[in-house]
Amino acid sequence: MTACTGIQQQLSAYIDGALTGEERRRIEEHLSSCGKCSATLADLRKTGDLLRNLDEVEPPPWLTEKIIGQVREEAEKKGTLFQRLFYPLPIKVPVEAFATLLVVVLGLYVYKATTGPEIKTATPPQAGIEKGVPAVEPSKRPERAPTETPVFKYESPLPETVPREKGFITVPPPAEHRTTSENQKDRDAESSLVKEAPSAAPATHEKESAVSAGTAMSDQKEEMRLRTQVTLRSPESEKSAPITLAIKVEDIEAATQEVEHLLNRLGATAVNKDMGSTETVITALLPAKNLQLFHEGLKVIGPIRPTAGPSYNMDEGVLSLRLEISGK
Amino acid sequence: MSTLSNDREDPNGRREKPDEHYVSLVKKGDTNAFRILVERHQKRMLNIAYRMMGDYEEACEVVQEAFLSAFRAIRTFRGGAAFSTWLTSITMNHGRNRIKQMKSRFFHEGLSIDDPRETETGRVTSDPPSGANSPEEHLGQKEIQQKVQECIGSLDNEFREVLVLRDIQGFSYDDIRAILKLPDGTVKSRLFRARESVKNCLKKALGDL
Repeated sequence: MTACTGIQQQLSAYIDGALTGEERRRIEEHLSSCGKCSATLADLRKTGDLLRNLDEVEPPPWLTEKIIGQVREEAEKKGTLFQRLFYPLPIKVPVEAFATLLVVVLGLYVYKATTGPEIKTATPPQAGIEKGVPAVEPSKRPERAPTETPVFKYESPLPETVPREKGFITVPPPAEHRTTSENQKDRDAESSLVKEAPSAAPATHEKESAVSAGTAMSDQKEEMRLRTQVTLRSPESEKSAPITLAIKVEDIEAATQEVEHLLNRLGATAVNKDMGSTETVITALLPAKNLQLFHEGLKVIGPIRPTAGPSYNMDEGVLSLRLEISGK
Repeated sequence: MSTLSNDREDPNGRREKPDEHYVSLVKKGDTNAFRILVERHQKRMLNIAYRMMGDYEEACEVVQEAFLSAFRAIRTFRGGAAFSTWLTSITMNHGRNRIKQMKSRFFHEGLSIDDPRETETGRVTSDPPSGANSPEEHLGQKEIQQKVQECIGSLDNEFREVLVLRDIQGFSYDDIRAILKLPDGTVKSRLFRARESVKNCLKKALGDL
C-alpha cells in the first residue's frame, strides 16, 4: 500500500472531520505535496456537493391521510380486541363473583347435608385419675358414620377406663360416685318414668352413659336392654311382681314410723300403709339403687324374713316394694 | 446529532413540543398525536426511501409501511434514542426488504440490480464525457441529479445506506451507528467505499466533476 492509497482511504473521514489531530496533520502535510491526492480530495468534495444538492422529493398530498387512515384502522382493531377482552368487565366481574358465591354456598349446603353435625366432647382429665391406665386418645377413635345420630356423652369427673379391642372407652361412674344433684336428677327422671312409662325412653336417654364412638353400637344395644328393663318396671308390672319383705318387731306402730322415715330418706314415693290388727303392710316405690340401703336399714328395725321378687342387683329404675310388719 | 425531536419551531416561529411529547400521547391512544409525528417526519423518511429505492411510488409504499410499523411498535419505544432515529431505522429496514423483493422481481425478469451499470430506476449511461469543463455546462440540473441517483442506485445496499444517511440526510456518525447498528469503523470504511464508488461513477457519467 503506497502512501497515497493510505491517505486516500482516510480522505472520506477527513472531509467529515472524523480524524484525530495527528491524522489530520499527516494528511494535510501529504496533500500539500501530492497533487494526485489533492485532486481526489477535490473530487470527493464535489461528489459530496452533488449528493447534498439533490432535490428533495415532496410527499404526495394523500400520504399523510393514507398513513393516518391505516393507523386508525389499526387502532380500531386494537380497540375491538381490547373491548372483547376487557370492556365487558363491568358485566363479567359481578356475574363471575355471583357465580362463585353461588358455588360456595351450594358446596357448603351439600357438605352440611351429607356430613351432619358432629358434637365434640371435652377430653376428660387424665392425669392422676387412674395411674397405669392409658389415657383415652381421641385421635385413635374410629370415624363416626356420617349418618349416625349424635350421642350426648356423659363426661364424668372421675372417669374409669376399661380396655377394649381398639383402645379404651370411658364408662359411666358407679352410682356411689355420682353427686347428689345427679341422684336428684335420676329421681326426677324415675318419677317421670313411673308416671309416663310408655314415653319414658327420652328421659332415660338424657342420662345415657358415655360411650365411645367405636363401640357405640354394642353400647347402644346394652342401653336399649336396660331401657327396656326399666320400662318394663312400670307401676303395673311392679304391682304384679313387687319385692316383698317382712319383718318381725316388738312394736308395730313404732316400727311402721321408722320404716316410713327410712323410706322417705331413701327417696321412696307413693308410700301407703295398711294398718291391720296383727300387721301393717307398707307399699312404696323405691329407687332401685337404694334397695340395698333400705334392706340394711330394715335390719336395724327388725329381723327380715326371706325375700321374694326380682334380683336386688339393680341400680336403675324404681322398684315396687311391699313390706309386711308383724309383731313377734 | 441531527435529530428532529428537540426544540422545534413551527413556520411562524412558535416553539413546538418535542417528538417525545407526542409519542407519549400516542402511547395513550391519541392517533391525532401520531398525525403530527407523520407530518413532521414523512418528508425526510420519503427522501431516505426514495434515495434508497430510486422509485417514488415504491418509496411512498415503504414510508406507509414504516409509519404503520412505528405505530404498532410505539409502546416499545423507550426514548433511548431520538424518535427520528428510531423511525429512520424502521424505514431503512422496510426499504431493505422492499429492495430484496424488487431484486427477486428483477431476477425473474432477467435483470440484475447489482450490475454496476444497472439501477432499479434505469441504466447508467456510460457515454464518454464531453470536453466541457463543468457538467452543468452541457447537462441540465435535472439530468445531473438523475445521473447522481443512478450512481447511488449502482451501489450495494450496505454502501448506499451509509451514503444516503450521511451525505444526503446529514446524519452524524453516531446516528448512523444507531440506525444501522454498526460499529464506528465499519461506518467510516463503508462511507469511504461508497463515496469512492459514486465519485468514479459520476466521473464516468459526467466527465470531470
